[in-house]
Amino acid sequence: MDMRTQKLVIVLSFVGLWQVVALGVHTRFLPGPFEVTKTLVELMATGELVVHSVVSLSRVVAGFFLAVGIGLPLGIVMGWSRKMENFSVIVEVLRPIPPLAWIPLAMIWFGIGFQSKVFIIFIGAFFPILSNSFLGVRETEPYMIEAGRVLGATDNEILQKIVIPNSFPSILEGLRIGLGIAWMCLVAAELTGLKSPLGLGYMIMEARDLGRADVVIAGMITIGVIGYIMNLILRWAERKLVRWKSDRA
Amino acid sequence: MKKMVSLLLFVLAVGCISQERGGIQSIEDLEGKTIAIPGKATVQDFLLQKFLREHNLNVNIVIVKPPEMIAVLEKGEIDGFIAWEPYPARAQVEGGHKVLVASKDIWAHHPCCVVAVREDFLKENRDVVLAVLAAHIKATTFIQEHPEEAVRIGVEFTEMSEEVIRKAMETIDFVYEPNYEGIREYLEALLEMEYVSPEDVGDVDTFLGGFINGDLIEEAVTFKCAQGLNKTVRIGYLRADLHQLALFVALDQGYFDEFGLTVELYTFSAGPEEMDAFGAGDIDMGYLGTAPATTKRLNLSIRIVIVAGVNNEGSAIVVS
Repeated sequence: MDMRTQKLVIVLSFVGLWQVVALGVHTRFLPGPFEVTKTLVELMATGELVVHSVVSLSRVVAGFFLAVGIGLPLGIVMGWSRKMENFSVIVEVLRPIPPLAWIPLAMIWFGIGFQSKVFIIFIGAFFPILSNSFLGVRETEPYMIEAGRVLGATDNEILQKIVIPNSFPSILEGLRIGLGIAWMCLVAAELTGLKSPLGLGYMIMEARDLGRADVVIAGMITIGVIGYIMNLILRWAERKLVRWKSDRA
Repeated sequence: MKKMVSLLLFVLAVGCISQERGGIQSIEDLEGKTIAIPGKATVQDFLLQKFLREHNLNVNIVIVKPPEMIAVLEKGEIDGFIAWEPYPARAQVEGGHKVLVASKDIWAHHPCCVVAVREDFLKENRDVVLAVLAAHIKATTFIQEHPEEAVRIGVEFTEMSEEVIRKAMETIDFVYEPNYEGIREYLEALLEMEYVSPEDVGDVDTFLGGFINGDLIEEAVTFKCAQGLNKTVRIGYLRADLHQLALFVALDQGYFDEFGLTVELYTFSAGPEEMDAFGAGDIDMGYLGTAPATTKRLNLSIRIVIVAGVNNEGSAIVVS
């Protein structure tokens, strides 16, 4: 069996196992794959699922780019400058705080609209992006910097032409992890109050109130699949960009 | 990079645009506004939808937990909310907001909270259920006969001011008989709203016959037990829901102790959550709204029985 077939077999056996367990326990608490597929198809047919997904994605995109915009330069500066490095004390204390612990504050600071969701996503994505760019810069081999200096490069040139390109793999890894966490946080953030009743997290919360376990699972699967696709895209980008770097080196 | 920045700005701009809002003076002004409910399939969701249908209005309905509603209203994120007392009274007294419609004007004498018990628990601990109901009856009578004392207990239970509780009490009708006709009306509307499916309900009266037990409360009126039961019962209730004051009166007055009952309390933010705890077998009995009890009894087959009423009316739509 090639890899593709193997993967397919694994997925099918998982679904089979799910079906067996669902039949075995036979409760409304665990709908089987057929029932959930039916619900998924219905949700897609009405267009509901697409709207929820697009709204969720737009929140993630905004929060993620905000985190990139702040976390990336800050990480590079912290890795590059010894003085700035001392700020890592604050970062190390803030980093272990789960993004969801910020929800009560996000609600009173930013309300229940777009901004508060973006804030939670920002917190989730910010730290992996920051730490990975910091580490990438910090782990640049000293001999490369020395070589630059010997050849008469200024600090700025060393940072732009040696350190940053060299940290690319680590930075990209940070972006990928950051996006993954952002996606997870989003759904949890949407479980609390929302100004526009849309988003995959909201869909799940509503289904929970109504006791519709099939809709809950359909929402979970959608979140998983979108997360999987996002990861694939970033991995692909990572390969492209890192190869470009090694080609040039 | 420029593209990324402009994309970011675009997304932020789109997200920040929010509709212009003006003050709500009359019912018609609600059209197109954003109104918060405590959860889907709650009594308040039900009442709001009934109200909107009758006035042919469309609003944007969002979910906000009742303790956060006033703050969210004051931030201007929502234009109004519907909640159980004492939140509407608190919004009036402390925030100067106004009640647009009291729930009695949406549906006079509408049933609201009920006491429910897990079917299994009822089978094995009928005596405990009867004792809890006996305490519930005594407590409800106490509230009717000693309103001043009841206000004091309400203040302790909700941790809100006396002024708020006094005002809130005026709108709540405390009862203990389960209201069959009222619950039937809920069920019919839940079917119409497609929250529950006709296949699950089957014949409405057959279903309600098993879902509502009106005999136990009759029996509980004269329930006595010579020696203490010496048992523990786990009871769920909703956070600061003044409708459920009887539970706290019973605790305050030691009515459970008289039967040798130890009560473990479990708090929930809204009825649908409490139903999940019923489903997991984490609580034995609970005070909760009729709508979530019925919806989840059907959709998730959570086997509970309604054994008593708790209150009629006592919710309101509040606007800033």
